[in-house]
Amino acid sequence: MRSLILPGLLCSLFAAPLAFAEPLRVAFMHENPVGQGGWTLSHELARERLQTHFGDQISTRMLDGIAPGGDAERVLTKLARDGNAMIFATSYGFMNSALRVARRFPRTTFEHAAGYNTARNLGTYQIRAFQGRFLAGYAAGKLSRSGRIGYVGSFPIPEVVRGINGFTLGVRAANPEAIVDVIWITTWSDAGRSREATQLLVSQGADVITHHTETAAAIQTADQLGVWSVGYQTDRSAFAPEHHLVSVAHNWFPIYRYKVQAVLDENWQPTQEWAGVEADATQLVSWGKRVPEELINEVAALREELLGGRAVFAGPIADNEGAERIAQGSVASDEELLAMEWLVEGVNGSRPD
Amino acid sequence: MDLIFIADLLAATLAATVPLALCVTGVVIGERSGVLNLGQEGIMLMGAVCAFMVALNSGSYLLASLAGAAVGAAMGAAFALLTLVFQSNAVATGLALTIFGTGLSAFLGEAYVGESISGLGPLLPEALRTVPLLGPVFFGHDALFYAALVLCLLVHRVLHTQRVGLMVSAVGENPETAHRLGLPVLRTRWLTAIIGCAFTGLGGAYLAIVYTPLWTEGMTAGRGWIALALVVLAGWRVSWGLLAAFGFGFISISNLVLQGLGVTIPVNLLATLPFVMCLLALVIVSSGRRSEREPPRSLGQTYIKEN
Repeated sequence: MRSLILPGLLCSLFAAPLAFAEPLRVAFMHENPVGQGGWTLSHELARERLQTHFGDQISTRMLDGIAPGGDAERVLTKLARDGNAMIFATSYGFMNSALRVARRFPRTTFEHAAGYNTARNLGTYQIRAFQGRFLAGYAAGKLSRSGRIGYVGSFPIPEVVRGINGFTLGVRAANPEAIVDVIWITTWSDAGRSREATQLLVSQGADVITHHTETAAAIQTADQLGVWSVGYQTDRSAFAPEHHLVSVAHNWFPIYRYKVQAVLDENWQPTQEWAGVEADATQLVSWGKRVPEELINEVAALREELLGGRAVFAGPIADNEGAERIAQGSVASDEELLAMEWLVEGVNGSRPD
Repeated sequence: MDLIFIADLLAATLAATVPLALCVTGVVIGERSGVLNLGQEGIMLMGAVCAFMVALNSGSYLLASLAGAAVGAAMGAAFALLTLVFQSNAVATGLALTIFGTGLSAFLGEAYVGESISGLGPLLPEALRTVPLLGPVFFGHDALFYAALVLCLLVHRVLHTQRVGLMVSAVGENPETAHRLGLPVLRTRWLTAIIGCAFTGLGGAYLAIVYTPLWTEGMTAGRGWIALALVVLAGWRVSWGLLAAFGFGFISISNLVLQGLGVTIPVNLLATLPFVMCLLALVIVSSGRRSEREPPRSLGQTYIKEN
């Protein structure tokens, strides 16, 4: 059923004679190609669901492989000028370009993923992936026999650091003695580097591997070496037919549905949307066939605890140099999480400055 | 750091070296005859995506390797057609080939993202592979690894010890004189352009069907460019090229190892190490006045046949 009021509202909003028949135009702009299979793919999957969900009410388009900086600003400007009413810029690196372009196009709604700056027509959104990481970390801690878990990190930015910390807290909730070894490969997309890091982690004794990179090479290598793996961003189980433990997948759809609905309803606000398990924005998918049923149930119970209000970053939490970072009885605020630049106790590795 | 760990490290480095070594060998073949092809990155990507597609659909790694090499050869032929027949500028044509290969491989591979193949297993019997230390380092590799090694050594032998190699060098050093001596300059360059690029395509195939048996856009991550630099470093000799490829692989893996050992050098600084070493080596190489380390004199120049 199509609302008769809606086109009228749109008409007054855009003051365009043709708005009557026209769907809301929504554009997505990504830094990495969808073809690398990680972060960008998770957004693309959500865009497809969004289009199906809203049907004729919206029309979406996607541009990928846009370099941050001048290129991003040019593409954003073009998208706004082309008459897209809503533009999602999905990379942290697009933040300043989005701010500048949003100022020039006050009638267009901009949304920026993973950033912290908002403006009158610029909102931000992010997934509390550290919650999914925490749950997966718990499972990893339970299954690890050696008590050493390998983590292939890309760049030491807060988003990645938060994931490592959430994961390690989960690991230690299952096994307080366990250690998470981190190797930084300083690339999102070099599959070969992921492989090399994974090989080293396994030869140092890791028997569960996880990664924060675009490609699934770490998962695949872990499977070849016969150790468990925790996939990230999308369902990576196809790359580890034997030893896939679970994947922590991003589900952007609830956030996109909410944001687009708000624009359609004309009550959109430039909020900082941060969705977690409560919106099913971070999900554990594709449990491996050899993971014990009992463990899956345990993790489900832990997820219920998170739903019930248990915080992942609840004090006392010390960093891996021994200094107390979150005091007994307090919980890390969103600001602290957004700027997180220290590694929790139990992480073997350092965050270089 | 125990011996087993060092053995693991060497084995990993050797495997990491193969794509680079194949590409370096391919570049040496072309450049010794004066063919400067900067399209290596694009050719490698095309080799990778086509090999992956064939491996996934046919299940045959032999066919997939051949497909990678064949696509490389086809791109080499296109390069030869443009630069030798239509006499386009070699640098511009090579760059165009990189852009073309990067784009086309992304387009062709779109449907193959998220697909996985099992990869090629070890070739040699268990008994050899489990020899302490030596086993994992030298005997634990796959068939394509040994094939690549044999191919590169064969090229070394042909280019540096056989009459054909001297012919190729003569064409690369001074095509006019070579022509007057009765050597087929254009035919030589056609062949070296095609064979060289077949090696590069095979290097891409190794990446996509053996090393990390998956396809992701831009998966060569600059290896084609690094190979071009390593050839300069190696003074256009295959043996030094292979050594340089191994050295580069070793340094870039060492960067990961040092992190694992808890050495607190800033990661970004560590990541620049292979490139810094490359630059240093280049400076050392070019400061020693050794004529055999100089580039082929007609490298990248357009050759117009005299009558």
